[in-house]
Amino acid sequence: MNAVDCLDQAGPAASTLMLEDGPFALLVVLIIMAIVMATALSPLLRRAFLHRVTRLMGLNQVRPRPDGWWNPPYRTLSPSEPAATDNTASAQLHASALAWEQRVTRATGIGWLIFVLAAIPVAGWSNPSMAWGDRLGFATFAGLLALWPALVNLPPRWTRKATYLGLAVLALVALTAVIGEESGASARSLPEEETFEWWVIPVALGLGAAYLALFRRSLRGLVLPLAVVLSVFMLVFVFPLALMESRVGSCLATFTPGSAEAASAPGAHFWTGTFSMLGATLAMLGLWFGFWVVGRLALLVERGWLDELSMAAAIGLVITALMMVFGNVPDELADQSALAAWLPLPWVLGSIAAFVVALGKRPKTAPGPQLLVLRVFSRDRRQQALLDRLQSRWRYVGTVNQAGGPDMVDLNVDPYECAMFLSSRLHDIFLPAAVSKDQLRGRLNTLPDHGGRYRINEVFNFNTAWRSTVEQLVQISDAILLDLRGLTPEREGTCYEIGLLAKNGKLARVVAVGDDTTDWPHVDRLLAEAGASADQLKRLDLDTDPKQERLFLQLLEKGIT
Amino acid sequence: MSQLSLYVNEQGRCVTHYSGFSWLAGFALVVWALQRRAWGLAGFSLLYGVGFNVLLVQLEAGTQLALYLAQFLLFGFLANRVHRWVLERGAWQLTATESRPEESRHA
Repeated sequence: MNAVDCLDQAGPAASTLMLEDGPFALLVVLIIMAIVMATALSPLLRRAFLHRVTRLMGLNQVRPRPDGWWNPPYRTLSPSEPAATDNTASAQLHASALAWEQRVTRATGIGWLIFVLAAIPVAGWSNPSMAWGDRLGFATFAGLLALWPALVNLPPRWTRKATYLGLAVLALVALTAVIGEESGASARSLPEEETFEWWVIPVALGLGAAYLALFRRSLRGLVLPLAVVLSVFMLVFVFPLALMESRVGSCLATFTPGSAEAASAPGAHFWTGTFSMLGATLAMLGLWFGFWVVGRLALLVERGWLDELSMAAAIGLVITALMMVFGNVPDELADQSALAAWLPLPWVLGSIAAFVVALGKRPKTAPGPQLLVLRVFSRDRRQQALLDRLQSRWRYVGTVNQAGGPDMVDLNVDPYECAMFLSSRLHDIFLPAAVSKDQLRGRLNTLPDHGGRYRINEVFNFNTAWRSTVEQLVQISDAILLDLRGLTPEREGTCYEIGLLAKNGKLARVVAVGDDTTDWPHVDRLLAEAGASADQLKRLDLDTDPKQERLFLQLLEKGIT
Repeated sequence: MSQLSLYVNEQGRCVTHYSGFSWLAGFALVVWALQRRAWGLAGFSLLYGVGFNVLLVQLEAGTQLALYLAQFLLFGFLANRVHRWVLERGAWQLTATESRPEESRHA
């Protein structure tokens, strides 16, 4: 007997194999596991990201970087031009921003509708024996799952309404399914052990919650890329092992440590070593490939071909399509239906094509007025909600620049930042020391992407860089929002920024917002120390005048005058 | 708390270095090495890990645990020290170090 003789023995029972229900069922399970793992890891990931950003912000440069660092091969942006100085009235700019926002909303709706309609033939192709009623049910469920990726692409005001609507419909569908299953079981007079199993409901709700968490505003920046890494990892790591298990399963008994077979089987050490080596290699390969995929996706965003919202929506559609199609292929067709493996591709591409056609040509490709957001670092939800709505609207007019900080992790982590974090290269997006205006412009993306939205440029800085960076950002920005909610004399960073604006004569471009937590007398003292008068600063008290629209218009006026 | 430093080479590539005990290196040296982009060490630790596991499965459970703990402590204590030694011996130069919390005054 030698080590490979076990190949001639009968393999393990089919019911014990990973491929028991066919390859497509395993793929669905792997994707679901990746989603659940990504969601479960999200609090840890968020905490780790915050921790890393905070520590990197505390670094002091002790030796200048070589030229190679300033011109890395992956960065292709050239120093951008200042904003176009046309004399467009703010009202006209506002109207065109609104119109484009509506067009994106409409195009997203059309893309979603095409996805839902296309689900009907997809259901038939992936499972020809499916009844028409079931195909409609398939399309309804696909539409519900695709609702959340679609919502990512819509303005924030849609999110709450549509989420409630989606949850209500989801609950209704679940209830109908439960009632249908119960009545069906009673009608068929099934024995007790074959009736509906109620534990399915909490499991289904848990999976649904994990899926929804992927697209949650405060999580998706970090969790979606992680879900992609884990999905690719699972496919590359587990799937080949499952295939191997079905082929050489008879030798696997020797791999189980402590088993009687392991001790006595010929070639036990050979198979143990082989499987260990193979498993470790596949795991490394899976991790590397997962990071590679996320890195390529991040480059699409970094180079301005896609914005992070469209990217998140597209990834969501791909995940939905994969789960729906692979979950629908019947066991008996699983081995022969190569067509089903490709069905998600035309399904998703068709929906994206409908979105692109409905969106039409973007209105302009020139840099728009740049908004700089200076703020007290705070993770207050109210503060973040206003910033989120404002920057979402401004992106249809021009870029939004801001100093990166731990407070923005809920709003602005894009796939590029996440990919850099996951690959332990987050330090490379931090500016280490003072930069020239051109060097800073070279790092800002000021052109709109193909969806017509401008970029939110977060500029991260070491402790030795942030003062100079803020100074340069003040110089190149057209309008400045100074969010002073929570300002106290202890907030030395923001106090420095107020003095900087006054000394550089930029107060005419500033709208300051505050509330009952703002120490306005201290602001006046800072202005006086910098040689400016208090009435030079345009103020908006959000306690007495909470209109976000008014703030937007005032900033727009500052930006184009 | 460990000290964070940043090293840079002539091509402008940066790597982070943390001082002190490394839990990650103790648990998974390969992942620790990959995180630092130390490809050679990652390859070596992959081979070592496979060999070590093949050896472990043939031993008693108590011996396995003792060996695993010894390895955990050894890697945890040595990894960052070796990393720093490799960086300073090679073409890497210290470019940034952590400031004290009171010196960091962002907004």
